[in-house]
Amino acid sequence: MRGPDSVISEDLMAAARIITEYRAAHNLPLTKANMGLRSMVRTEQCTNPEISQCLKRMTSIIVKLSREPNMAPAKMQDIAGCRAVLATIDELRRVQKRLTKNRPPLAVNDYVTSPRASGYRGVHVMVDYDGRCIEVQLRTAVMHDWAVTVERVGGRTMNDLKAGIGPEPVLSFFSAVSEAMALEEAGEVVDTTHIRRIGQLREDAAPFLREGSP
Amino acid sequence: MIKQFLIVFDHEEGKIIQLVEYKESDKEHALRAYSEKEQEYEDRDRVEVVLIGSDSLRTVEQTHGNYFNAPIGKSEYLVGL
Repeated sequence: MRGPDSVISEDLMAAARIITEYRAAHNLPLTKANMGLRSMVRTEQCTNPEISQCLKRMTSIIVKLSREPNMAPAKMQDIAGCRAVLATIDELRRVQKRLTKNRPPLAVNDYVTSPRASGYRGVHVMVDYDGRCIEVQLRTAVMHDWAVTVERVGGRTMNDLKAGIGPEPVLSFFSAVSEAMALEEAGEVVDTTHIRRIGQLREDAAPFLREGSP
Repeated sequence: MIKQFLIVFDHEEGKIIQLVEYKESDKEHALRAYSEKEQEYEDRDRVEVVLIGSDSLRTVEQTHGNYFNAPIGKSEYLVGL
């Protein structure tokens, strides 16, 4: 860890150690959440569910702490996360219901009812396992398709698109696409005006979608 | 059984440059390796180190497809991105 004048800062190293240990303490509860979720999707007879867990990267923790000066690691809800990709919104809601019945949640962010400005859709349920907050992300395959694409494009172009940071044409394009995908997932038809708008937005976004674009 | 997959992804090359699989019984080792690998690459802002736990690499390829070469963007609106 480097501080001013490239001198390794003892304070920064101590802080990094504390965060590393704090993160590590979530590992076993996270695995329990993963196994719990697997059991729930079996009970709900979900079609081909895919579930993984992840401990937040140190760089992401530090970025979040620096963006929100009043945030302490203990208040972060997404240090440990479990993601389930499900076939349909009906499966998502059934799993959500079972999860919140089994473990009254610390918080629920329903981005299916109210998508994020970026267009991100999913339901995040914060649950307590062994005193640790675990974020359970529930998505359908359609929502996941969008999110993974945004993630990959964001990484390639060095923009944190998921957090709504990036060139406006790119953000507008992905937001419009999410709206269309949500309509189709609900069984509705996307009208030609919307489709044409997506086409135009994609053209506008094209210069920014290449690797290393500004 | 939850295995751990330590992935080092180079955004400049657009591919995984290291992938290590740990058995469930090795999860403490995996955690230590995660921190060590993060420190190893801390000055490389185009390199992402991540530790993902799942039953198989095939599942990780689905849940975290952004790190793999499998085509993503299955929707007609996302094809080619």
